[in-house]
Amino acid sequence: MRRPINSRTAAVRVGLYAIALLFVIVFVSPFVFMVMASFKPNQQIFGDLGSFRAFLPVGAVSLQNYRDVIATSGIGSYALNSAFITVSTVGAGLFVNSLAAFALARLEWRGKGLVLGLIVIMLIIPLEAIAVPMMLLVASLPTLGFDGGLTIQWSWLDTRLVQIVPFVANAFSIFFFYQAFNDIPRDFDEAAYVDGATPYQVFRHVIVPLSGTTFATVAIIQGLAAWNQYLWPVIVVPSAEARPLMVGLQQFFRFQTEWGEVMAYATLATLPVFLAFVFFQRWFVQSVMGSGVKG
Amino acid sequence: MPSQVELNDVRKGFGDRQIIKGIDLAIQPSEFIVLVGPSGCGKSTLLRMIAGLESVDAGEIRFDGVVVNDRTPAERNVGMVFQSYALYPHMTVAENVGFALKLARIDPHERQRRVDAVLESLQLSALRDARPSQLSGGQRQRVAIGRSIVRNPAVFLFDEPLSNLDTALRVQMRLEISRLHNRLRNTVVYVTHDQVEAMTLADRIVVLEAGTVQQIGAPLELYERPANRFVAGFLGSPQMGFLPAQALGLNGNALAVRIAASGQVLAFPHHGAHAGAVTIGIRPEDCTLCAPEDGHFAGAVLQVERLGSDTFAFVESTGTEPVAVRVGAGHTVAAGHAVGITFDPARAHLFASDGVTLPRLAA
Repeated sequence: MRRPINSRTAAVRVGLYAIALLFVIVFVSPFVFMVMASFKPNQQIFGDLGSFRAFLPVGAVSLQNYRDVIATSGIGSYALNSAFITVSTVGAGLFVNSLAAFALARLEWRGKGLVLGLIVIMLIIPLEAIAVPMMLLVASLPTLGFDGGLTIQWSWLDTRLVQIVPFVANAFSIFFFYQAFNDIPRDFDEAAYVDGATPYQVFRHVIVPLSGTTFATVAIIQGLAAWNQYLWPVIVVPSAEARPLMVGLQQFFRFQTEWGEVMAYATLATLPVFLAFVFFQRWFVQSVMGSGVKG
Repeated sequence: MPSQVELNDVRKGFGDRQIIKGIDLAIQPSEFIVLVGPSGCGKSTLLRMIAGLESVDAGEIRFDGVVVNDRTPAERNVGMVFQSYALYPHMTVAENVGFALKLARIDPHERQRRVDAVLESLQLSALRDARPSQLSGGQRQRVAIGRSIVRNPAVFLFDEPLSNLDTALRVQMRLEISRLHNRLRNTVVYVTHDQVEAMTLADRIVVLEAGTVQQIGAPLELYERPANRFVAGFLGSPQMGFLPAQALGLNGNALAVRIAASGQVLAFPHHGAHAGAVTIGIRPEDCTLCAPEDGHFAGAVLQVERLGSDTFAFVESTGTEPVAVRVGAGHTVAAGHAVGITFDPARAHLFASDGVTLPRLAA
């Protein structure tokens, strides 16, 4: 039987929805403004600023800003760079981090506690704190090339590689996998060992299929970070060849006063992330809620 | 081929706590051995050591004479049924059963043939494409058994496999496991805390307490000739009643024993000379209710349990724990009645002050 809703409960509910709506407006309005402004010429953007028209597709709306951005900014190659970096980081990251977490959560080896402790410590160290030493390190790492014969270049600077490898192993991802794997009953592993599985087969055939939500969540979090990389490429990628999208945006709008084009660039840069989030959000929310309930 | 399993002074501890304190056991090929004991006695740990899921701190585990301490479960060729069943939730029934064969890279046709045969034998063919979440408890149990028999293991290990089932299903599965063993004749090591399972399934029972073996023997042997008070109390439901008493020494051919609760002296014909504090152990079926003045001791009925086929009266006397007495199903005894209890000393057990059974003389 449904409980009747009394007026006080209803009032509380209305209040909560009102607060939630306020949050939605605060977070969504800049996004809406960006998209709408991307279709408008500079003059109209400033003309609309004082009214709700700034959030509506009204006036001289066209795709001209997009045409100009695509023609002049080099966004295509930057987007390809970012896509390559993101896919490579996420792909390698899922494999490496989940295996590391499996070793920590499921296998017995000397020094495991110490390694886990170090990973937890790494969770709280921001990139800004270690960016310079990392730069000095990658500046003297070798890359193999081919130029009529095998060549070795003693620097990773200005490559796509330098934007991928340092971010594949990720303390947060390892810890996230570690916690999720710990929630899977160990009887499954043991049953698989009795069935003749090796540790890798336990990982491959038992742990991975039972952790779909976790993999999706880590892919989203690590993918967002890779796509939105800014500080690190600014430090290590000076030239345009390996430049990612976000640095491209900064370069673009440094020489620009055409805000419509800047907004068009920003919209194009946001679109893949937005679509990915819409596609994955069910798993993302499920996973965050699930871990909350279990915890 | 069923294996012979030997444990020689096997030990295991976790940190400072010794869980298994030196166990010797020889299990014959095709034998059905039940490890039984209260929670925390180490029976599951011992089973996991036999399986290869737990390392051995000291001692040897041998399969057919070969030391297997460092071998993996698969190398030992064991099949195991877990208490939780541990069916892989993302696989169908057929995939669960066939997983071991897939890992062993058995040809897919042969794999399917063997999986089909196992599913057929366990009446699971109709459920081959179902997921574990769609199955009842009994069906999951059968799939777990199917998964363990598909490789035709030399030794079957069961870790409290029926503890998650309701009573009716437990009786049915007990029969199925027994039938399966009669058909396959594999060596079985079965862990349970349920003494009815132990008594009905085992060729021999191993009673464990605090990581040590208390007694090994056939079910009725343990029931009728318990080695100590722990075994006597553990096997039998309701459990054996215990009466504090004093052994007074031989009187003719019988040992004279005075019951503390009543002061009556009884002659125990099958026991040799002994003096000092003892405990008399009497099974519910060996006791008879009578008028308080006619009994070997008297007390008040604390509770009556009517089970349909049997009725048990629990009688409390001065200085004793409640003693269970089996009475006829239609008996009118009720809680609060003053009653007496008689028993045949020839059927009773005597335990010394350290709990060890006083030796019985050959009849």
